[in-house]
Amino acid sequence: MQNQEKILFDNGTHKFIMFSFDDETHEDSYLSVNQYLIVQNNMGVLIDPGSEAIFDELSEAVTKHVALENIKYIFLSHQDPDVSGSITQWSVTTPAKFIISSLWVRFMSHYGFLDMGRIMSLPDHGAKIHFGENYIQFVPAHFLHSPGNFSLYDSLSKILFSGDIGAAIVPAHDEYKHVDNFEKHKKNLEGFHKRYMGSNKLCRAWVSHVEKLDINIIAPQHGLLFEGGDAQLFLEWLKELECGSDLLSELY
Amino acid sequence: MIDIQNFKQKSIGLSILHVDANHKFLENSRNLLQKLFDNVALSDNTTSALQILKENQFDILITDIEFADEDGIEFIQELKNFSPNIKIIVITAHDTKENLLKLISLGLFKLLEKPIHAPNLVQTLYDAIISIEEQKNAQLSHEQLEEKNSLLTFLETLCQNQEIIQLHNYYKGLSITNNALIKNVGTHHITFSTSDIQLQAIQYETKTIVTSELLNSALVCKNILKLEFNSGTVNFKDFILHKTSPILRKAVRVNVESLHSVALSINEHLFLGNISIADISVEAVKLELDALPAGVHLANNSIKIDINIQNGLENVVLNADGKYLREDENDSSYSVVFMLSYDLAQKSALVKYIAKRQMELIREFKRL
Repeated sequence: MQNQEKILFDNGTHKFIMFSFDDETHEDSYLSVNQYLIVQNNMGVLIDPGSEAIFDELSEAVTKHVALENIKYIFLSHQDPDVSGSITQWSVTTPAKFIISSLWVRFMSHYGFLDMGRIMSLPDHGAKIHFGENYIQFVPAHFLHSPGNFSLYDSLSKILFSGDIGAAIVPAHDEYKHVDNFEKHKKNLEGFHKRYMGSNKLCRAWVSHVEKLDINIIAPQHGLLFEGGDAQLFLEWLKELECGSDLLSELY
Repeated sequence: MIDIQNFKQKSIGLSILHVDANHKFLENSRNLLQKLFDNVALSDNTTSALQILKENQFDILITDIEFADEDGIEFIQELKNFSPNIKIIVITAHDTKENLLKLISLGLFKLLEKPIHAPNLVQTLYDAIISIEEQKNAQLSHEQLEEKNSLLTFLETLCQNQEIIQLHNYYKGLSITNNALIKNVGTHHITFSTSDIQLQAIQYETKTIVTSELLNSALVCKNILKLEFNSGTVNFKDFILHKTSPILRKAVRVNVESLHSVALSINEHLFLGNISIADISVEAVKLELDALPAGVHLANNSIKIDINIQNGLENVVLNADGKYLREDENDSSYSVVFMLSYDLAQKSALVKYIAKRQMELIREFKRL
């Protein structure tokens, strides 16, 4: 992979950057993994930094935008190893606080961490961090797929980091990874969402929440980004999706 | 008879001004006062004396009250406006009965008559120094008492409102922090309820640091009176506010107990004493030295630190430039902290080592 970094938003004081430093084997295909960084006035918020395997490359890429000592928060959408596997490394190299669902706080010692003073545990309804008139909002996305799961909305860039919601089984691209034909892209979404997402009711709850937000881009942890009209098409699709417990007969 | 050495010891940091129109008397006084004080000023008139007093803080004033064209009493009245605590010793040849009451109301410390004998003046100055010392101590204990009372009131408020605070302990450098509540607080005790893991850390370290977003400084608790896992509480005897504490550390530190070697070079000369690593972070290393290098101050010299730590089957090798930060004297060794700078590849190996060591320490701690 060559194109491992894409600046999604930059107004001079606020940047939203996407990195693509990892991929996972998924049956006969690869699931590309995205990491994100928000830099606001030289303070960083790192989003789903991934596993230990990519720590060196990602930390080097991050320092081109913000010094590691200026990373204030590291947001972990949920507890999976491709999200949180490098907690110990980031705890050693940054003074950042880790933001994660309160459900996973008790697992921190398994990640090599006993300093709960560096954990900001999110209540089920989420939270907001304000900077001036703008804010970063942690939007509940429980059981989609993790039972303690959050999306992150940046009000200034109008980018919604959706975690595993919107993930697609697509090979890692060299070019900018965004959906250019939603109808064609649906087949990449279906398998993953039907099996990993909790239920249609849960999908609708999340969609009704994020529909109230002014969104330019939906940026998932895996696969391609949804821009403008494609973001809206994705939300409509998700609202109608039967998945998880709706398909119980296929599981038992 | 006052011992001059003892006098000098007590007068450290104190300053004295002598005002008198008699130049010869002033000159003799200078010779004596400079043996007793570090800061001595002289003036032959009250106008320049007032200027000197406005520009500098003095602890003791020796003055006459009779000047050719000036009024010594008015001079004292005026200087009291901006130096209310100065000790005033009046030395005069004039009849002072009519002015005595005024002088007393202005806070006169002692009235001496000319001609003055040196031993009398030294004794008076010594008495003034002791008086200053007593006043400072009284003020300090009053401030301490007020501080303790306001701290108690504050902690009681946190307790009544069930405000969540944080307790911090360290196990071989590993930071262990959990939320807690203040259950009870009094002048000589404070009780917290917290998690089992924090109680275990407190049992190991005993000294515990308390922080809260509402507290400006860290509260350091010592001397455990009672620690109960059943009720999840710990009761300390002593607690005091501290401006600095380990929680201000920016980087994770771990103790290095595995096999390791360190070479320290100062201006390209290898230090030949025994050295070991006490703890290490990505930013700094604390070395234990059995002696400090003779005749060389570590702060002003080029330092190279070569470290080799055995980490399982791999070795962590670090060839870093060191910048002296601070040193502490222990019972039979010295601890010296150096900031480290090294290249990215070495950083990667060190991060891996510290992360792995953190896991080891967590496992070790859980087995305690």
